[in-house]
Amino acid sequence: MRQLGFGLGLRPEHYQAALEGGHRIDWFEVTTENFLVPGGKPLHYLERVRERWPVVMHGVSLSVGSTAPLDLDYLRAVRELARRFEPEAISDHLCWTGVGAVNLHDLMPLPFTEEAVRHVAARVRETQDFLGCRILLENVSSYLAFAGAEMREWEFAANVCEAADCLLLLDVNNVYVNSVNHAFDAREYLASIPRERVAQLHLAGHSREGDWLIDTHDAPVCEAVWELYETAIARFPHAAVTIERDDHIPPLAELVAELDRARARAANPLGEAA
Amino acid sequence: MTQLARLQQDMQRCVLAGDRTFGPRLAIYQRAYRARLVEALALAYPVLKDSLGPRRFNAAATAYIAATPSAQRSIRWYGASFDRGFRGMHADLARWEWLLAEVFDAADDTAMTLEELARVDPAGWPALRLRLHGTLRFYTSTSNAVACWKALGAGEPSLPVLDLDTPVSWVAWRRDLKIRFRSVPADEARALAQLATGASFSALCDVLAAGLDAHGAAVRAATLLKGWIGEGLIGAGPIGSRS
Repeated sequence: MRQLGFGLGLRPEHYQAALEGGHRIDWFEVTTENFLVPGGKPLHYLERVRERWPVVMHGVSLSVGSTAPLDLDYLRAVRELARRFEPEAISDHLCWTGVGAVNLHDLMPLPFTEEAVRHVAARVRETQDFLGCRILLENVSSYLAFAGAEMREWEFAANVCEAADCLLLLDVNNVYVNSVNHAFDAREYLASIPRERVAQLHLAGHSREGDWLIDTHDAPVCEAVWELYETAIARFPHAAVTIERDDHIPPLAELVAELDRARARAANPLGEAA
Repeated sequence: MTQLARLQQDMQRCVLAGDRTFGPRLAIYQRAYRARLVEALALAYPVLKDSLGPRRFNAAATAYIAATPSAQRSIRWYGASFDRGFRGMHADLARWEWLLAEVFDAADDTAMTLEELARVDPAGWPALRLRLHGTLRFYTSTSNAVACWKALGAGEPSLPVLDLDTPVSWVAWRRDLKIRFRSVPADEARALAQLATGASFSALCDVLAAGLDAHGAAVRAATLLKGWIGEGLIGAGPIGSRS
């Protein structure tokens, strides 16, 4: 994946403002499932956006970690969309979303075992063969840990990427959220991920529910995540960067300002005004 | 069964059933599952939600979620059979809101223009076959659901619910990315339904013939056709005796 710079998740609220341009957004990340429709407004706007900016297709329903058979109809639809819009990359999550034809519409955690590494890696390879490209997998936030873990989360992610020869979409917010939820050192996580595997970074906000941090994408990036981002961008300087906001969506200009901050802190990791 | 498969089945069963045997920490996933689906239903049925009020809507959503695990890859389509939990105006309203979502996402199509129609040799009119615009959907209501939908959508006070003695036909379609809709008189509804089966212009005249002579039926058919084309209800394409 080539160096894309700083991008935003494209949301329907911003279709028009995005197309007006003049906003310093280098590229757009689009939620794949929102465009797996026969026609209409979303595809119309994606076409207009794609004429002017690179896009990355970011899915939520691949369920690459599931023990149910891979959904080939879904993959066919993704491949067709990719042929039409020629994204820079296709990504999804290092998780499962359901078994037995059920979709829980959530990014369910996987146990950190050798069995799971082998299973997921084989499915990633199958997916990549089907789509004809390497995919990016994103680390997810989790709110429980399984007994019998055979490795740490970062080893699990790195092992899957190595075994499947895929790339990592490192969500810095998710690393932070999990470091609080599961009491580990987030910097150890970042330092353990092989540099060449990280093609993209995600930044987002989270919320608190009792003792747990929840990955809600409904708030600005918090200071602790910005600090972790500085470590991440220093270690993975070529990674494309995206800010995600899925709820309480502000005007585009506000997210562009946040993106400027990501750009400035990449160039100037002390967080001083650029 | 592998350990991973067993773990996923157990975990999913507990999320769906709200079962605590997997441990208290699963509660975050259980709450998120329900909240996400309730939100998806509220997004798909905003006016139905307004009409029912939050308490009744949530009760209906909770019952639907308990009975209907999602099999959709996109959560947007989760509420496809939500209307079955209602009767009368609320069932009509649910079907109407769902139909509008289908029109919103229907495959793109090009509408026929009057210029295109003008190129048809008059001798060819009886055998002329037309097709409906690909985004067009039919809807029949036995209540004043659409009027209620319009009032609530415009933020006006809710209307009293009325059951109608005679069902009213509607069409909804998309033009320039915008959803359009209107009610259609009974003879026009029959004529449009006839077109949906690939009927010829002369068959259209037959449908409209009730109470009219042959000339009157042809005039009515031509008038309707001109109106439909003006509104974008007819799909473009090679005109003629196409099958």
